[in-house]
Amino acid sequence: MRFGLAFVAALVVSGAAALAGAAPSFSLEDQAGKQVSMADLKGKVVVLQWWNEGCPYIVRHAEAKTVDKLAGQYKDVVFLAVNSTASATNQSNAKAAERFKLSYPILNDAKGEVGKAYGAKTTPHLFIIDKEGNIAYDGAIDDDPNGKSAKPTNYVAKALDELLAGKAVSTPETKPYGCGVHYGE
Amino acid sequence: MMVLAGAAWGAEVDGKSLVKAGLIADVEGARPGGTFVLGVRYEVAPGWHIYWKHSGDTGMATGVRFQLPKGFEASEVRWPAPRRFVSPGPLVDFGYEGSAVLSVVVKAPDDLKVGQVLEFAAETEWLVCREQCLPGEGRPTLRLRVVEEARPANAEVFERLREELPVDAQADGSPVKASYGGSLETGALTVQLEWKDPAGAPGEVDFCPEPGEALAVSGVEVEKAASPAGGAGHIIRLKARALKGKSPGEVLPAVVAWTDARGIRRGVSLRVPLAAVK
Repeated sequence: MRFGLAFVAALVVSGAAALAGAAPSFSLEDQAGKQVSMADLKGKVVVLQWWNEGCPYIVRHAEAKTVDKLAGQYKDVVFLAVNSTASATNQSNAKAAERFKLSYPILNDAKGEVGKAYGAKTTPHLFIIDKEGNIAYDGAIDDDPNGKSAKPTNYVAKALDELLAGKAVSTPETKPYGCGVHYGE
Repeated sequence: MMVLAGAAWGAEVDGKSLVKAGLIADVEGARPGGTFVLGVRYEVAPGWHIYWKHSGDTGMATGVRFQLPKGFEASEVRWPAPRRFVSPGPLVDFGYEGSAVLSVVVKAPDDLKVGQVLEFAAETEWLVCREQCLPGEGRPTLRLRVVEEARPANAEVFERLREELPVDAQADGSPVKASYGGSLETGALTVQLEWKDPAGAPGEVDFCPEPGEALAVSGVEVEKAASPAGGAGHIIRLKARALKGKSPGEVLPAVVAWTDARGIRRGVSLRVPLAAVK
């Protein structure tokens, strides 16, 4: 009975993971069918970007290469897109990656379990996992939801700079913006 | 832009054609020194919705800024009681479907000349969603002549709006008495509502919080419960926590919204204390 209740609780977007500190583990296929597991990324800083190519906010950032540029800049950091859209497949993820010439993989979380464990609400919703495996940042990609600012503050870049300099992350949490993650029923 | 199969509103669907935004006033002309209501009326395609001033877990608050001729003053934007939308997750959002008016009360300066033509405008942007979300924007305008006597206009729309604007829960005309419990410190807050007129009490109510950037609200539960005096009431329970590294203020503003017997959306606005109520 207790196991049953815990299982149900895990399937709700609670964001409790952020509170607890430790980043929930995952093992998901990328668009080429290759397994990507958090266990293999031990000791690395990891950036997770919740993804849905049907969302105009994702399209805007993908076309502007907002995260690709970060991936190019922070070469020791692992960048992963996670697609928790219930209808997503490795094939549709491959198409999206090709469309935007994405420089980082898209992981298939169509079951929604990883999204719910992290409390992913929107696309994009960004999480940074530090070398100790704790969530160092949870929130919006930047402070410019409408894409109108001349000089937006990119919260991810700011947090990565601080982490890599051994400093505390000054903005560890913000409200994410974007379309809702399309979890299944 | 993606073409959505089966869309009834034209072959090419974009943020603009799903939402029509027009600028209207509750008067036919502006009287020098007079006040009137100026609003953007959004007409949203069936099945789609736009968002409240706090969109919720997802989406984007509708933005609107009014541009007035010289000497005019305007109140803050008034937001009608929103609806609550829930998607799998669960993800909870707040907004409007069908039509909605975001308005300000405008005061005209004394030194206007009868016959003068005044131009008003509003800049607005929105996100309209169903399964997909599409951003849109508009800049509707309205011309009003300066008149001696201002005759009413759009009476039905503005009468409806009057009913949809939330009433301050503490005002004399409020249909409820609200009391509060819990605190941010414990992470659990409660709101107890007692309906002054039990016959007018709604069945279901929605709790629509405005947590701002520093506070996260979750786990909202609403149930009917007899008030301590034995009358009609509701109890609202919610969890609240400060975002890491942020300090919320003293209160959580919120609107309790419901649909009345005539199908009109109504609300009361509350200020839920975050410190323990003594």
